[in-house]
Parts: sequence; structure tokens; C-alpha cells
Amino acid sequence: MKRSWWCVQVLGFWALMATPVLAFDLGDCPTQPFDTRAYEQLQGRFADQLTSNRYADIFLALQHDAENSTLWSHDERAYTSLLQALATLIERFANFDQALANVDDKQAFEKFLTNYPTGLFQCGNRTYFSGLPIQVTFDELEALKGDRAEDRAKDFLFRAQTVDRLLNQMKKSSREATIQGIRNAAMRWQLFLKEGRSQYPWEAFINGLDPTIRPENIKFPPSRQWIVLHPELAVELSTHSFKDIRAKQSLLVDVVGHTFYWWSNRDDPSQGLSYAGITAVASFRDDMRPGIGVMAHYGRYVNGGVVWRDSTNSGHMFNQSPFFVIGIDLFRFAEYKYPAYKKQYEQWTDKVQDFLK
Amino acid sequence: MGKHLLFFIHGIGIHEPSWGEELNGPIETLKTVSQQYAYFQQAGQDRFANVECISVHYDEVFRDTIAKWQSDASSITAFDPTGVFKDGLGWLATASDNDFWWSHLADLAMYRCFPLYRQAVRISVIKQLADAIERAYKADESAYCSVVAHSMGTAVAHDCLHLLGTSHWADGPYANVLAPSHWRFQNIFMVANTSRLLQTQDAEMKPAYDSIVKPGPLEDPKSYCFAYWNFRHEADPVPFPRRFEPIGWTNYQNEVVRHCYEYNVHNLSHYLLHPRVHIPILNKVVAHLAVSDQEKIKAVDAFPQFGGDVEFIQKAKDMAAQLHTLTGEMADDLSSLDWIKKLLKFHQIMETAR
Repeated sequence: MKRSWWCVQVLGFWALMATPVLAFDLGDCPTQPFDTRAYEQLQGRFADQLTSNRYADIFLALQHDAENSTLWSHDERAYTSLLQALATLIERFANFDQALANVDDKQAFEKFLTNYPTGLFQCGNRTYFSGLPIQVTFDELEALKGDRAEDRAKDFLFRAQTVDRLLNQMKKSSREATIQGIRNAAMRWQLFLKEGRSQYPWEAFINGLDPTIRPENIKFPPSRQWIVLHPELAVELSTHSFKDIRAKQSLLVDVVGHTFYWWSNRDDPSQGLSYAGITAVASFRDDMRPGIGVMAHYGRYVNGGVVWRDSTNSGHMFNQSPFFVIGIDLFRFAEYKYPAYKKQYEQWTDKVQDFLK
Repeated sequence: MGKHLLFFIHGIGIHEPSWGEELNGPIETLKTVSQQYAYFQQAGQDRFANVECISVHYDEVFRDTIAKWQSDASSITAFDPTGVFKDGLGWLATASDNDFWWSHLADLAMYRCFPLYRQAVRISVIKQLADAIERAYKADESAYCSVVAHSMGTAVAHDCLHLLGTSHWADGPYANVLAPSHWRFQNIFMVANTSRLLQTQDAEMKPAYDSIVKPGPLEDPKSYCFAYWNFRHEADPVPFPRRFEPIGWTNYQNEVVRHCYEYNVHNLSHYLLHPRVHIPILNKVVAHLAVSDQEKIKAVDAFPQFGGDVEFIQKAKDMAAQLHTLTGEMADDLSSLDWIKKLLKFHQIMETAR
């Protein structure tokens, strides 16, 4: 019995030794929101400064708070590192253009953020001020000794985290603009790939080789593209008379051409992407010899052109009336609307004839 | 504290939007292997409660493109009045994900050789990262993010992180506050790293060793994470040529594993089975020392190279020997074409072993 009780004591001792008294983890928030050091409390305390963007004043006040803390003996490394980091921050904020901020806060912030880093208080892998001479690890905080060691460790974490959250609050509008920029870029690409003129693999490859077309800027898809050997279905219409239109399916090959894109509003891609282009085409039908021509397209569905054929085997292609050629999608649309248009046309010609009589 | 966001970025092959959460997928595997450690065995405690696993998905860029090619080509071959194009476009008209070329190698070819689709993949991934980061900031005024990327996904992750941290994104005079001088990732875990192999000459990009995707001190504009982990399998030919072996990086750890618990040793979940791979992820993302040093030593020591039933182990040993021969033939400066040939050979060895 005695022996087993001894074993329990030994195991208990080792269990206690194995678990650090303090065990903080990344982003731990060891005190409560009602604590005067809490980020939430600072929103009320510094309401005026936050409204007028006087972050320099806020960080100066936080530095004074830390300096006046009675928890620390003032030569402790973690403590001096925290004060040094705050001093660095305040030094940077001395360059914040408060006069400009009073007139245009956005511009003042952007000027500051472009010239000065603000990531000093980001915690990384249980380390503050990572990689810098003032680096403080959570292991160091857990190993603090003496009176109220845990309170001091928590005090450090809490003050550092509060400063980080304040800095993040300051960057909110820039962050939102950055993320909106990314969303806009993603939408531009999505529209380009879904709504733009389709490319076969060889066309995408060739366009990738052209340094003037290659999409080097991730924010914008290409503003133009080559069309090369692009087959598509089309419908050829005889051009003798509107009343006696004959349609015949053909296979068009866009031999070479170019498409140009433009945005209704570059900064707001949701307003739409338009494109237009022109291509030299070859046309193939099962009942006639191949023809050649030219085709223009506007957007996805509107495409039309003319094709010349040597339909009489005379060797003179361009002496004969050309065929109109339209894309299959446009033809399907026209086919759907054609009866109504034909009726309108007949009514109109009847009226004209009646009038002439 | 806000949740630690853990982005999973997939490699080549078919991936659904929720690929990470699939049965035997990386998230489930990570949770399953964690159960062998005391910290995760406490009843009623969801140790992953503070981790938000996000499956980043870009396969749809490839799938939509191939589907469009297939649809365009089949409309031509079906209605071609001359019959001339039936043979010429037949290969495209019959493109299907059932074919290893279209489901796997085409992803690689499209990312490496087509700037158009490469950029489309990148912006799709960057947007998913940015959306999640923004969500974290809205919830907690802070964002703790780490990345687990696999195979071609390591190259995608590399490119996307570099662009996220170096481009000027806002459509106005706003600074990029997701740049490394303002914010950085916590840990980057690269599994079967191809970021050096697939690096490009794109104007906005930099080679893998020169980009910002490396660990470094806080606010350093030339580094974008606190720690970088590189995992490679000895018999996996994918990360072999132009191997990722940086010199002089601090907070960088390279782990080489050689286990064989399934035929596809390249699979992300297979990598995660190894304690050398999953313990750093658990300790850095779930909780500090979630797996103690003692447990780690024990787990690595007790993890046999081959696992499974006797029949599988025998086949796996033969397969591993063949894969070692295959990787032994691969030079560091292997040409892209030879590399693809080796990948096909790798696929063939795996399929034969099955």
C-alpha cells in the first residue's frame, strides 16, 4: 500500500513537472475585455483620438501606461523589449502627417503605410518581435520568475496584442481596399475566361508567347489576343434577295485575326467586358469548293462577314456575289426571330406596293 | 483568440471544392493521426476547435477550360459538313477526366506552359486566401494563417504568396497592407515541393530562392513567413529534379521520409501519416507542444517504413525498390520532357504494383 502511494506521488510530481505552470499559445488573450488594458476598453478611452486618427497619441499613452506599470522590475528583458518596441513605433508615428490626416485621412495613412512598416507587433510562432534583437519568446515569458511572474507574462502578452489590434484597426480601410482590389482582379479574370472569345489550346499557347500580350500583370487579363486556326460553325446566306434567303451550314476556320477587349469601367469589372475583332477566314461546305473571306465579331454572339467562292469553277472567285456568313449562335437567334421579321417585311413591302399603285 | 487559418492547396489531379475534407483527405488524416498523442485523446475536447482548415481549390480553372475546349471541338466534329476536322480535333473532342493525361498532366502543362491559365489559377487562389484573411480580421482584428501545399500546389502557393505580398492590389492610392512589412504568414508547410522546378520567368515573379516566400525576421520586406517546412519522400519522383534545398535560411526545416503505406507515395495524406510530417503541423497549428518531444521520438521510432497487410508490404517493397531506381536515374537538371516521362513511368509502376 505504502509502495503504491509512493508511486502515485512520484507520478504526480512528474506530471506537474511535465506541464509548464504557464503555457501560452499563439494569440492567447489572457485577460478579460473589461480590463483597462483591453483593446475593447481602449476604444472608449481613446474615442476622440481614434476619431481624429491620432494614433501617435494613443501609442504614446500606451507607452506611458507600460512605463508606469508596477508589475515589472524595470530591467527585465521582456519588459525592456516591449518598451523598446513601443518607442520604435512612436518614432515611426512621429512621421505621420497629422496635418494631412486632418484634411484627408486616407491619403495620410497611405503615405505612412507606404513608407513605414506596421507589422512589429504581429505574433509569430509564440514569439514577439521575431528575428529582431528585442525578440521575446513565449518560452521566456513562461520562464519568468519571482513575484507575480504569471501576471507579468500576461501583462506583456496583453499589451502587445492590444497594440497589434490597434495597428490592424488603423489599417482597416487599406486592407479593405487591398482585398477589394484582389476581388476585382479575380472578377476580371473570371469574366475574361467565361465571357471572352474562346481560345483553343494552340491559340492560348501562341498568345502566351507574344510578349505584348502575355498577361504579365496579375490584376488584368490580356487586352487583346491572336486568333489562329480557330474552327467554328457558321451559316452562309445567299445574297440574291432578302425574300429568298437560302441558308447553308459551313465550317469556318478563322485563319488569323485579332480581338481587342475593353472594360466599361476598369475599376469596376462588374460593369462588363466588351470585345471586338476581325479575322481572315476560310469557309468549307460539302457542296462547294472552299471559299475565303473576312469576318468581324463583336462580343460573343454577334459575328458576321462575307465569303467569296468560285461556285462556277471559272477560276475567278471575286467576280461572283459573295455569301454572307454569320456565326451559328447569331443564326440560331435569327432563325428564332426570322418568321416575325419575314412577316414584318412582307407587310411592309405590301404596303409600299399598295401605296405605289 | 481568433482561429488559426490553415490553408490546404492541392496538387495536380481531380479536386472538388471540398477536397480537403473528403474521406481519407488531408484534414481527416491529420485528425486521425493526431489521436495517437495524449493531448488529443482527452474526452470531450475538440483540439482542432481553434483551427479553421480551408480547402483552397483551383482545379476548376483547368476543368472549365478543358470542358470548353472539349465542347467547342465536339461541336465542330459533330457538325463538320466536310469531315475534314473530325480527325484533327478528335483528341480534343474526347478530352475526359478519366484519362490520366487530361486529369493530371494537363494541369501541369497548363500551369507551366500557358501564362493565361497560370495567372487565372493564381488569382483564383489569391482571392480565396484574401477572403479568408479578411473574414479573420473582421472577426478578431487579427489573422493567424499557415499553408499546407502539396506537389504542384507548392508552386501555386509559392507564386500566389509572392504576388499577394508584392503586388499593389488596390484600385487607388492604397498601400498593400498584406505585404510582409505589415503582415506575414505563420508557417508554410511544403509537401513534395516543386516551387523551384516550376518557377517561371513571369515579370512579377521571382525564382523560388529569391522570392519573398521564405522565413525571415518581422517586417522584413524580403520574407513572408515565420517558419518554412519542406517535406520530401525519398521514393517520390515529383520533387526530385531541381530539388528544393535552400542554403542559409533560418527557421527552415527539411524532413525526408521513406515510408510506404499505400501505393501512391506521392499522395498528400500518405505524407501526413509520417510523424515527421504531421507533428510539426500539429505543434505549430493546433497547439504548442501538442505532441511532446518524448512523444515525437517515440512516434518516429515506432513508425515502420512499411505498413499494411503482408501482401501489400511485399508488393510495396518491390515498388519502393523500383521507385528508388527511378529516382536514382533522375538528374537535378532533368528537362521538363524527361521529367514528364519519369512521372508517367512512376504512374505505371504504381498501377502495376496495384
